[in-house]
Amino acid sequence: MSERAMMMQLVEAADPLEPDWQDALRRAGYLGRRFPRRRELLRPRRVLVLVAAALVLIYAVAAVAAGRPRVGPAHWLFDRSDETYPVRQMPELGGWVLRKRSGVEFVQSKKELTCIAELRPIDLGPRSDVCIDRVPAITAIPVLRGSVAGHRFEISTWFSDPDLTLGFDAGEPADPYYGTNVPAPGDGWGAVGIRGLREPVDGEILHWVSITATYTGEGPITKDGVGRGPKWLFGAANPKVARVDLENTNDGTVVTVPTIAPPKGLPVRVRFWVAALRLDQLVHTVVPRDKDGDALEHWRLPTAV
Amino acid sequence: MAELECVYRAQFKAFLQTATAYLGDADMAKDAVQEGVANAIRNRGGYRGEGTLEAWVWKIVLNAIRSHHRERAHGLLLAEGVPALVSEAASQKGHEPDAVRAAVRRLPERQRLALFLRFYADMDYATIAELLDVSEGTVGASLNAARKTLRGLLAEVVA
Repeated sequence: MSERAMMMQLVEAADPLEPDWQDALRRAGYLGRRFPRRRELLRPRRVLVLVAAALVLIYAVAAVAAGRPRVGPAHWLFDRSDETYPVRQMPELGGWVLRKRSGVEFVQSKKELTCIAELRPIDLGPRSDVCIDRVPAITAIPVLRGSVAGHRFEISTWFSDPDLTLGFDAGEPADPYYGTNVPAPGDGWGAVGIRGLREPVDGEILHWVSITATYTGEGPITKDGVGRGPKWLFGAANPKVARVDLENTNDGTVVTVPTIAPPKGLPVRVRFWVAALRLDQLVHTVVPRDKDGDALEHWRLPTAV
Repeated sequence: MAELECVYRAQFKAFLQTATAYLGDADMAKDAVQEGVANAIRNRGGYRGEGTLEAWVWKIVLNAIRSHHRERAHGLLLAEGVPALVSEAASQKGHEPDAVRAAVRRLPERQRLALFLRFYADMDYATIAELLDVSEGTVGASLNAARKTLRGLLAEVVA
């Protein structure tokens, strides 16, 4: 008997057995059921995680509800403030203010940036084309003044290489910078690089609007550590932007605000917008829309503000 | 899934023969093969395209066969309190298939698997080496040693 014949003798009993793919599928759990097997769903660790998550949720709802028995579950979970603000906000604007100071004029730098003549570039040798702003020597021009939901605000602007900068004051205007008569942005400011205002630098993505958040601390701080606000969001917008939708991350609301044309005399083509929100209303996406209501972009913010 | 089914159908006979030779029982062998293939189906997302799908399935089926062997050996030890499986050769003289089976079981596991894969799956040295995680040279040496041992054992049995 050959070696091969002897080896084949070992497996003679296997000859009549046939492949059974259906059986393999059934054993794998892919036949006779559309969903994962019960034992997969009910693995001990998974059950523990689900139970723990349910307990945390129940505890959180109960804890918040205990302090706020008069409102519904969504309010328990999300609203920490007595303040409410309309989801469609139209600022009540005061008179335009253009405080053009003696000797102020706009000039063009070699980089085609506009700066204020008072801030003539100092001699920096090869970089003498840089437009320098030397706070507090800058002149801020208030461009938007009014109120939202009873809260007063003022937006001012000045040029800062290479962007426009917006300053923000809530309530009473802040004092001037020391030793000057230049109004200071007391409650926040942010540089504005938007489409149409300048060209992108090094592949940066310019958006249709800018957004800056400032927390004015107006009102008492509540026991849970959350103030009453408002939280101000403001910014500049490309002239095509007619309104800005602010999508809220925690309660799903969308706050819509119009954009407002700048006062005459401001030599840039931008519009402005401002919104007042509760402190806990976190905005995660900004959607600028044109006059027809079409979205120009859906700007998902890297961090909700 | 269709590719897995093709591999299963094409290799079923080789799977089954290897398992039968290894486990010594055709029904248990089929159970081991089916479990191995079921494992491959469940974990098919784990196949990253490194090597052939066939070799990947073979590895899983071999693991299932070994697992069945361990369970069986453990069960026999617990049930009978005796060294299982390997003590039959002397009592099986004169009954050729059992004598061959006993002789094969005396081979070290690597030699046994190399022998089975060569005989039943008709694999080349490179594929066997990949499945057993050894070099091709080791496969060759294992096969030579197995054949030499087997011939000696079988000579005793037949004599």
